[in-house]
Amino acid sequence: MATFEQVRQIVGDVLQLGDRTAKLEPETALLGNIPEFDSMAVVSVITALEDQLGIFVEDDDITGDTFETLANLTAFVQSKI
Amino acid sequence: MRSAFFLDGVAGSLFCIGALHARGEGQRRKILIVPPFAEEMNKSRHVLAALSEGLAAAGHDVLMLDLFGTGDSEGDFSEATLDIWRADLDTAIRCLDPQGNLELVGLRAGALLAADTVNRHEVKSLTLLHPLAEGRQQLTQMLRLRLAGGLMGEGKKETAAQLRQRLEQGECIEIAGYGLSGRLAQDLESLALKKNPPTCVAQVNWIELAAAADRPLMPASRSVIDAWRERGSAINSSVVVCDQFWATQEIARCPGVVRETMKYFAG
Repeated sequence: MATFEQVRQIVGDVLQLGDRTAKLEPETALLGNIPEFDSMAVVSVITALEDQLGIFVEDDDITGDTFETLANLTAFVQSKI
Repeated sequence: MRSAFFLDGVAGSLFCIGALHARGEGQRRKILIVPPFAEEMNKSRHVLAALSEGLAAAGHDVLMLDLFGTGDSEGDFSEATLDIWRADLDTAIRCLDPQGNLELVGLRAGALLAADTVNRHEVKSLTLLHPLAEGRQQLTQMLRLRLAGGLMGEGKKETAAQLRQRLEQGECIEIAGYGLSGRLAQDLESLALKKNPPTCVAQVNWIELAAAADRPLMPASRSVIDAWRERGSAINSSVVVCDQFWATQEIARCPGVVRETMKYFAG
């Protein structure tokens, strides 16, 4: 089971957030809130989740909601395992 | 002598940087470096430049080229095809001293292209830096970039299936400023490491980047390595701790990958 902690670490690593990674909370908004979260970052995060958690993401399952908050992203990942 | 110059490719001039010694001078390795393309090329340029400088400083002949339609070479990305790129790589190889052993290094999609090239030439070693196991992954990544753009913007929502269908119909789709042609999409789909074992290459070096040194190779890599070993390939693999510099927001340096690659070219 992918934990919130794993997803947070992957997002923090991909966006190179450094110390800011630990400050991400489940309700932290991602898209439109974290400046580093652009479309390239969305792609990098999905790819990193696939590589590191061994999941497979169907592109058409991804919506704006998926990346709204870290909790939403974690729930999305859990639905793929 | 280290220099930047253009070679005449089949479809246009090719920008190259290299350090080429006078022909027949001493016992040197001759190394061709194949970069990835699109945004990954921009992000990885300085790491590959550091690598080529390191290899040149060690006394080797080194050549790195921008494929047609990428980087500073002629042509638009939308005009590029696998056949042109194959011919470009052959052109670059002809420019190297015919004496001595040819060795190829490729990063990401460049590794796929390098692996595709080895069976057309006599190649002593093939070094793959965090290779894409399949061209399809590159295509998926490019389509995702376009879809991710759609998540943020207004406009009507597209699906991956729709984009793939448009490519299949031969349409060119713009992705983050790069025109992806239906032809190139199809070409990329045809590339896969597993089905193309480098059977004539004496040594394969596989370097992967990870967040920690104790991480195993990715499952997709493991599966290619196992398949190649079954076909008789001798493969070294190593994991280097480093950010994935071809995808980071900020330009990241990666001295570890340069050092690790240089090790394979020592002695």
